[in-house]
Amino acid sequence: MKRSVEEEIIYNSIKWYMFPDKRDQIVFGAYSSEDFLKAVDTAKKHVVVPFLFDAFNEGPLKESAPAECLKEINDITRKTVIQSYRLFFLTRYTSGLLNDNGIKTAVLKGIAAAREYPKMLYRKSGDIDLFLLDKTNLSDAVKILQDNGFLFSEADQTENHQVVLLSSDGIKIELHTMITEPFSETKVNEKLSLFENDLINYTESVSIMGSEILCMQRGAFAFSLLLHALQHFMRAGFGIKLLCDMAVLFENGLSEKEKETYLSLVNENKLTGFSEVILSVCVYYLGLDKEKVPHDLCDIKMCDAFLDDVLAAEEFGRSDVNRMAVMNSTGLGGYFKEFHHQMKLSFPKASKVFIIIPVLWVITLFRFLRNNKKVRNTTAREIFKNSSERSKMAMELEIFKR
Amino acid sequence: MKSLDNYEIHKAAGTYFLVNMAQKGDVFEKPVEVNEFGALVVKLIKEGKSEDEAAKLLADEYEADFEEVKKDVSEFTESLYEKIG
Repeated sequence: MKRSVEEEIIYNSIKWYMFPDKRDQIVFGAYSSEDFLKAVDTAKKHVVVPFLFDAFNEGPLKESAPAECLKEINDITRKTVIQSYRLFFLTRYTSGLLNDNGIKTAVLKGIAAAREYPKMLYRKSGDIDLFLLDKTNLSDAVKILQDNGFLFSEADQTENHQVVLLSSDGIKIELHTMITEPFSETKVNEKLSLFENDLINYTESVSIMGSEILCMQRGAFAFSLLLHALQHFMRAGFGIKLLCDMAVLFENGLSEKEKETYLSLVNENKLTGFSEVILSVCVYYLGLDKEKVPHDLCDIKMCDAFLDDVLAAEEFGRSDVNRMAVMNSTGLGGYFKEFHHQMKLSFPKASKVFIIIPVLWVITLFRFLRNNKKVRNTTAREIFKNSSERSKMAMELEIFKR
Repeated sequence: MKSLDNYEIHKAAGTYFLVNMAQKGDVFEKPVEVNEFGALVVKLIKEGKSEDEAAKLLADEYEADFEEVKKDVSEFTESLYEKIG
């Protein structure tokens, strides 16, 4: 339960920002300049520096934080605010453009997550994610955006479940036909596909900065954030920002119907253990009211281990070259299953032709070894070691089992 | 001179931003950062006050010399309209 001083500064400052009504419950200690510098450095890696702004500028850290920390926080926050305006207007424009042409989209993450915060402009995003409520509209959507000046480039198409277009200033507009990339569990993917096909029934128009934007209802949205977290956890991990998204969303409260939707989706997809650990960390460290959590909390030791993983991951597992996909079972069988899954992600169409699968395995293995050496500058052994440690945690969380 | 009808003043990150809330299209009209004085001037102009009326109200509020405030208001609005086009 005892975390480092820099973490204490970050979590308390985040609570100060996210939950102004609970400020009287937050106890800051006395910190050294080094503690502050480390805290800001970690916050930078997790892209949550603007969340520190209020505590450092208007709160109890105002007098004690070094001037260089304040300057850095203020500069980053100001830039984030301007970028948030850019993304808000571009989201409104692109979703509106598609809607005017009969193509309905729901905003994933981005401003849909930001709107839950007391100051939405402080949540940093880099791109725009739009989910097509009817996936057969994909080619029309791409054409409409291209006709309106957005650029399509083959080089940007790195994922199978989305098409990426670029604005004139290089912002990515990702058109998604799936909420998340496929997992290695076929049954889960089938259930998620049913959910995606039915997603139009889980959407609502919400007012964001005075504009009506189509988003998911909170229960479904919470589930989509959980899937997003899971997708990154199963790869190289995710950072503090995603935990904040969950904490602020649940603290704002889900209606009984939304809670029911969330729990039913979590149970159906056997993600109870994963949801428990995420929301428990939000309760223990980010000030989420435990009464707002729709299920049991999990063991504090598990939360600590999970939070260690989150901290080590930084934003979307960028920190450590040795971090690799998590497996849901151990031993050679587990490695092979994950390897086969990675092959299917790399070759979604070709992998359906049974006879060429061995060739695709060889290509996947070659790419893995080459990327380790040239891109990640590490060894397969180190990657397997790290993966094995993280996979043990995944098994304790009983992902896709409970 | 461009109208400020579509613009709003928002406070964020310890400063004020004048934002064109009606902007459309791919090209971004970046918010203009203004100080507290500028934010007050914009608020008064949006309320329909003339520059002179705004200067009078601000001079009373800050117990400052009207002519000096009038000059500041005039310089501020000139610079603002240049920025927002």
